[in-house]
Amino acid sequence: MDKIYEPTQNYRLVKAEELLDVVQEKKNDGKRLLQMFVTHVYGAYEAIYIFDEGDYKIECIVTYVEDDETLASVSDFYPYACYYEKEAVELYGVKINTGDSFNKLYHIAEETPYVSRFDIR
Amino acid sequence: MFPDSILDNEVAMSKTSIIPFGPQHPVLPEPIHLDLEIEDEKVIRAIPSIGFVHRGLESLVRKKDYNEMVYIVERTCGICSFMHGMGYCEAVENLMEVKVPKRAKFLRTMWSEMSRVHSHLLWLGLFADAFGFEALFYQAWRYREKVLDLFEMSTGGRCIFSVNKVGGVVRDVPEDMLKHFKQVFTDLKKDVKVIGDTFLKDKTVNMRLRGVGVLTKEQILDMGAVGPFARGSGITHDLRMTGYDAYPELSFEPIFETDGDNYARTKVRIMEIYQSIDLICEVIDKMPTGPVSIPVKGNPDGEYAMRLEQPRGEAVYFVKGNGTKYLDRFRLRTPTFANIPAMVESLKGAELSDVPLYIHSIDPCISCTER
Repeated sequence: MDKIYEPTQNYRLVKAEELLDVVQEKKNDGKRLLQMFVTHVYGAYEAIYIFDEGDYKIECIVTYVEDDETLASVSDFYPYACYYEKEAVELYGVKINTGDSFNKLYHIAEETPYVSRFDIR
Repeated sequence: MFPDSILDNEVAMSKTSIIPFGPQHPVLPEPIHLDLEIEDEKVIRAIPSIGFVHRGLESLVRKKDYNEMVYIVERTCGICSFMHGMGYCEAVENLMEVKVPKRAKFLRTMWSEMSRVHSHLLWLGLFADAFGFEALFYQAWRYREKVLDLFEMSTGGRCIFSVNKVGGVVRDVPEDMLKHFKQVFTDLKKDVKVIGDTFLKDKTVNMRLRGVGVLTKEQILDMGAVGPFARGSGITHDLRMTGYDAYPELSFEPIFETDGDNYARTKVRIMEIYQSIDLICEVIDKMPTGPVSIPVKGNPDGEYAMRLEQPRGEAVYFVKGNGTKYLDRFRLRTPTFANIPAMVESLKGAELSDVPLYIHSIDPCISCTER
């Protein structure tokens, strides 16, 4: 191959209230959202947003919200993010105002099945 | 004779109805459900839902140690099982800074490209079946069998191979078998050329594929699509360019087309089959000697996100270790999940009879999505 891109990755912790500003900056810079997912850790939700920084580099934006708090939706900037957010809401029970037009993505019998199974203490 | 309202086009055109499509449908290989909102025969909106066979494999990461988890991750899917195991192992290896032997890297590359060849042949068959060309379907799957036979010969399995482990691979492939592989793939390339030409040059196939399901480069970027589906619209993104495994030592350039329709996606996949066969032959020529695995000591601690180019596109394997033999978190983002939003977007304005083609054009693997 003529050119090999060295994959590198950064982790950045941001406050939940600053999340939208950071994501808007990423969108303005033309970065691609690879995925978003949550885990229930130490009594709070840890949300990780992975962005493609170009040239095959990635950056992980990590934020935390309390159980009763609502995580801001980034689907205004990345329309397809609502699929990841719906997965987080329906499987993990985090509160996000996904704000899209269809109600349920996952047809499963148990509601929010991963809340207790992924609880890291 | 007829009431005025029926003859009035405006009234008849404005009637909207919802047609449920799947999860059981003759052309759907796996369970995905779409509520198609249609006006006459035109789809104006599609609402997807999944989760019918959700297995919760990710949650098993808290019950299995990081070595046992390889066999769980492989069982995510029966088609791309090798690369799922490899992606997980490479994520853990990068996290633990394990240097995998060179021969193991070459063997992994060879098996990965073999997975791509058989996955694309499977897709070509299913796609031909979806547009009603059954002879092409049988031919594509007949050639796929040859690749599965080679998998069985080298790994012992046809669906689940279990040859990956953290630190390398568990099986070596002897030199005479590698020579046999090269001969089979050289012959296979000539055979696949026949069905490849039928897909790309046959008039009836062209009529069903050209100009159908067009997505522009901007739409693909807005919807976050990946893999051959995105490369059909002019995106050059291919993670093999990051140079994992043996790719830095191979002659590789991403294949892409710019038309953005189903024909372009088909062409990308057919060209990728030829390219993968060339890569396999090159890997066999350059195969180094030496061990195929090294012992791994310690436990993973920290976070790592590994990305691989699966046959269907980019897959992301995120692992988070805590210094014990049990990982805190494993998350797999599959290419099909990333392609669903773009597929739903492309369905707007589609004819109802073309809906199966639109769904097949992303090469859907719901088994991966329902991990």
